[in-house]
Amino acid sequence: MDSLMQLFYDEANEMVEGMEQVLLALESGEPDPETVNALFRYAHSFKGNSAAMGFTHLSKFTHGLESAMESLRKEQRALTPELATLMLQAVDLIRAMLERTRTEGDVGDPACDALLQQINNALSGTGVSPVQSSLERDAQATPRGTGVPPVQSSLERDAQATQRGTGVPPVQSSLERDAQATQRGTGVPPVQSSLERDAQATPRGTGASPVQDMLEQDAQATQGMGTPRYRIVYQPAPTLSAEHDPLQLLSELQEYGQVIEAHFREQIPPVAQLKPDACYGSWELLYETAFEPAIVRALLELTAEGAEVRVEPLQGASEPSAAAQETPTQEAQSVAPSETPSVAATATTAAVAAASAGKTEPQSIRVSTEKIDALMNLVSEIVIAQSMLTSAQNANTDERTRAAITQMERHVRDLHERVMAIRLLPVSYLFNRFPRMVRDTAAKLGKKVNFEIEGEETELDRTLLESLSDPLTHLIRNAIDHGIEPPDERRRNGKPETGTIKLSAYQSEGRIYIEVRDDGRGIDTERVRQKAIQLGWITENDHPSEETLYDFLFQPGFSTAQQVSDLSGRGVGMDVVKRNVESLGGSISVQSQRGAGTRFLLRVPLTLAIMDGLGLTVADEHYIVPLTAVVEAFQYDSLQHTALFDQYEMVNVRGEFIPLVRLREFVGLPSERDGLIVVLEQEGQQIALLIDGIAGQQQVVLKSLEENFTRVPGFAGATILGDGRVALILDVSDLIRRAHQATERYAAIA
Amino acid sequence: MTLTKPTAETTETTTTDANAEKYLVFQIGNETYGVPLLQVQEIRTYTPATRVPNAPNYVLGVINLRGNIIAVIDARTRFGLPPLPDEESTVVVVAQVNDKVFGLRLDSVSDVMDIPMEQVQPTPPIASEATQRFLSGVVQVGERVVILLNLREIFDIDALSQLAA
Repeated sequence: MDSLMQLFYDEANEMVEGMEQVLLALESGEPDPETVNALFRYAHSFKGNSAAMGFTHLSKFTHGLESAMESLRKEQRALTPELATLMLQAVDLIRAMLERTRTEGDVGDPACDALLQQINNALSGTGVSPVQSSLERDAQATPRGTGVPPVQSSLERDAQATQRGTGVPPVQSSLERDAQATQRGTGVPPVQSSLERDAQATPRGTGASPVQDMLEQDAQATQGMGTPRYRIVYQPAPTLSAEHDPLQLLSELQEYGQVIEAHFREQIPPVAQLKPDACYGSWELLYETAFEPAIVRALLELTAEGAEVRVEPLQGASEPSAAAQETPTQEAQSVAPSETPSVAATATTAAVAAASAGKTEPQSIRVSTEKIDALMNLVSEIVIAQSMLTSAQNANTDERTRAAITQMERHVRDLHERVMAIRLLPVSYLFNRFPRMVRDTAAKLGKKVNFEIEGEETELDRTLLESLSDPLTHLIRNAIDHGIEPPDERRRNGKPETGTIKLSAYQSEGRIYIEVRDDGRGIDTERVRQKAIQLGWITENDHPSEETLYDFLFQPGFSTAQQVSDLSGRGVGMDVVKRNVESLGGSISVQSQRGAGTRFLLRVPLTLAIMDGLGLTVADEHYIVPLTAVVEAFQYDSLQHTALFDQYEMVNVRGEFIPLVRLREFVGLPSERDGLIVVLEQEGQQIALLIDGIAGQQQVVLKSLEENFTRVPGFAGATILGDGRVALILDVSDLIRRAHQATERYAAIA
Repeated sequence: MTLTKPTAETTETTTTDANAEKYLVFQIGNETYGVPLLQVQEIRTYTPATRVPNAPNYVLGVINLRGNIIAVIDARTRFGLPPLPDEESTVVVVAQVNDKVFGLRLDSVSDVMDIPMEQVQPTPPIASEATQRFLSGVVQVGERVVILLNLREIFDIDALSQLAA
């Protein structure tokens, strides 16, 4: 895929995720204008980008969605659960369509129109906004009692027309216009708003440009007509660039409102004096739109890259911005209505705008993982070169060289750490997917769940994060399905109806801990015991410890769910979770208290790229095993040795027979009689590996053999040793599988 | 959104003659062989490779190429000749074929030559069937006969993947 497409998909996915997060935030909290604006911005950018890539169906659908969001924002409605579900469905649809564009190109989806219709119906039917003119409220109150009087239906039709169109409908009922005017005053009753208008009508300080005076007169004249006006000053970047399209800016503006007047602000030089790469044409607009200044500004920012744009509201206290306060007239304006209650609201909007200005543009750049890997490799090389330099020191090395080497060593170590840190991502990258899943799962199962996330800033290797997605999804689903009780059961037990699931992450001793905790019914150890008996794992008389019983949960084929749901409880799952976590070099444990809840704790390494390894030697060759797999090591004693048919070798370790694997044989070297035994364990199975010696413990950087060569059976990869040589890393699970298959074959023969 | 147009790969033709291509040439035994210079990434002195258990005999092992693990193939063993011990002149030619980077161990490299492509002739059936596929043609340049090699066949990834089976 070419880089342009890749960039589009990267950004599109971010926007879709952004929309989803904002929707979830809106649903749970207060309708914060800045959050709604963020939603709008995501939809708007998405629309623009998909249109640019020629995905007309996507952009058309997003456009419709954007209009719906706009009416949501304009009327300051709370997001009803119904609307939230519809909007989330729309996001899902966008995601699905986006995925289809990869293979099918620009294709439509019949679901689009139906969903938009549903959203618009939901918008026009429900959600009385907190700030609404009494007039409109009265009008709406009437039809609820009686049927639907003709007046109301025409009103509603108007309202729908507004929602479907983007900007202001050509004909607007004066009723609704009044309502809008009131809303703009944020809660100011109609009487007050007329007061405010009077205040604004008073003459202002002089010093404004003739154009501005004229614009303002216009603005005054239209005061109270409903649609706010702005003065937009556009100063293009001095030089032309490809990203810069003033024409698009104008057409965007036309789409969201109406340009009343336009003036050039500078004289364009005669053709002979034009510089070919310079951009001329600074202009000034009188612009009318029902959108908030923040939106207009966001719109301009998106299209006017590199150019300087000022937006100045010409009306009321709708939103004094930093830009607006620059001009003397605006100062006068913000003083005038100082006694009205709208000042408080004004202050908060300004604060929100200021806060958003800080957070909308993250200070980051997008770098491909390949580049980071290349940097990583280079740094690893420097580390190796450094260790060679360090070991090259001898008694004759002079003091200055020694000092330089020591200093270099420190810097190289720092550099190494910093570069490693680039690969790390905050777990929020993964955690943010779960609120949606919890919401949907809980709704499906009729449970009430409050989902909390903690420590989302904890950082983890990107590949590791991806691999944790499935296990965590499973654990959280389990917590909702099996952990959290239905609301009535919770009430009976004196618990709050809404259960809590808490997902938290923290770092400790170079490892990452991830915890899934619920305040549900806990694990019924007696039921686990009964199930184990039923499965024939233990007998009636066995009463294993709590830990052993919990361990059963992770065994294949175990499920205590009385009722098999389509979400969990199919008997597969926990064993898969355990295996996944272990394959990442991690571990999982569980604690539970009957009636109080369950806690799953995952321990994973900080990064997959680095692991603690134990160096093993046979002849002059050097191999690595992950330290996490090593149980113990001891001198090999032939008395412990048993061979079945001289073929299936076993070692007796304190009464337990463990299959013996000779590393020399495994790597194709002649066998030796003596050596060391290293007991390796994975997934509960062990082998005894016979080696010549142990070369010590070291941190190793995991490298792929497959990337340039091929998969080599029995080996998980390779690493580079301190002296620059390559050592292969043994695949412990593969070794164990081979050994146990052999013994099982023997068992079958016997 | 800032979209930069993907720049077309600028493959500069380093040849003077329109139909000539640069080849890296070297001696194996008494013959002169050549590989397309465009496929060659670098030439480095040979450092002992780490043996890969159960690999075919011509795979000497794996080495560290700036943090990447690459396999090294011994050219002589690949052509069925007895290997020569490491000398100071022993090199590894690092080449890229099908997105994979390989090393080819050679006794020495001698030169870079312009090979007039229109004079390349199909390989005469001098070699056995097995080695025939490693060759892509022969060409007479002055007094030397250069045998052009097909690196894709020499590194034969298909055969290597049988390792994994």
